[in-house]
Amino acid sequence: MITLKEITKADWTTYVGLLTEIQKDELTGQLYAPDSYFNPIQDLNKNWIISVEEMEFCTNELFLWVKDLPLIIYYPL
Amino acid sequence: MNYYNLISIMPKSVAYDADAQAFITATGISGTNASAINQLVLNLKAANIWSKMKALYPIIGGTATSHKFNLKDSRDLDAAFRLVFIGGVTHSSNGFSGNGTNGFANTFLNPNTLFPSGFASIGVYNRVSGTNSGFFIGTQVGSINHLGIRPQFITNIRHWNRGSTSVQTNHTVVNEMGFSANSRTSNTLLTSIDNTGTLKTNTTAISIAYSGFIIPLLANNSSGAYSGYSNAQLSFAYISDALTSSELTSLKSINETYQTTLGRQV
Repeated sequence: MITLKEITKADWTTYVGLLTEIQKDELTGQLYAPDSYFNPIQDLNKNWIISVEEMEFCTNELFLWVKDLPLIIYYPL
Repeated sequence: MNYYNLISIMPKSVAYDADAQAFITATGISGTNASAINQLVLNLKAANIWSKMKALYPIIGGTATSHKFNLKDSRDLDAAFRLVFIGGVTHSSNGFSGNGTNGFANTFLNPNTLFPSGFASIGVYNRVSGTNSGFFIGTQVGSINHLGIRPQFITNIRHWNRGSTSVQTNHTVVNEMGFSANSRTSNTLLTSIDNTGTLKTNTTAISIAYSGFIIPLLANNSSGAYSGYSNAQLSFAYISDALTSSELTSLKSINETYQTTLGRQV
């Protein structure tokens, strides 16, 4: 399993954080940083995902667990 | 030291235009940034463009909190068309960037409601080349009511401003960097401008209204579903009443002055 700590900024466009359905519901409509909201979307394989930027820049103490999400390669719809 | 000598060496406060000052206070910017905003407002007023603006995002200060404010209405409210950032958006002194995956800015501006007469103008200033063909700005209902700007294959920028998707102008460009804007001044005239100042028109007659879905920056809102996420970096964007071709040219020049003052012109 690849995590945020193992990739460089050049990899940010390649990977996304994989969410469970429950985690998706928890993040929807919530702030990850001031004036910035999570935006869980589905990839080509119907996985719920968030971007590496949302994981990296998350400062909301309630959701710091997103930094430990497993990363998968992003396949857009 | 007497009173008058003391006064002469005291720091002098700078008197800014009242509209500029409201924005400066809301964003907390200072120094060159504050001066640049003041001059931007003065230049827009001198060109008689200021009064036509509904949402004007100078994207200054380097943070989401400073980038979110609408220069025309600096209240921190959805009704003031203050931006909210959704998904992966990064911020720097050069502007804000989408990630091309799920990041965009919500303007809360519904073109159908705000422009019932059907005449509006939109524009952006993008600082990067090689983007992913995502929308700089856009809203539509199915394949009609389209209002948007989208670079495609780096060397082509497409503009829509009411009407079906096929009613558009196309600019062949060196790259997608710089100023891009369009305006509809009548049911038979769509005008657009690119970063070289070249104007293009489309005179197809149209009769339908604008999309009733909120227009975002760095994505397209198609009937309420967001897609076409862009990885462009925006450092200026606006939505206004219709602008004439000469006003589009003036606005391009005013924005260039603004960007140059901030050292982020492209």
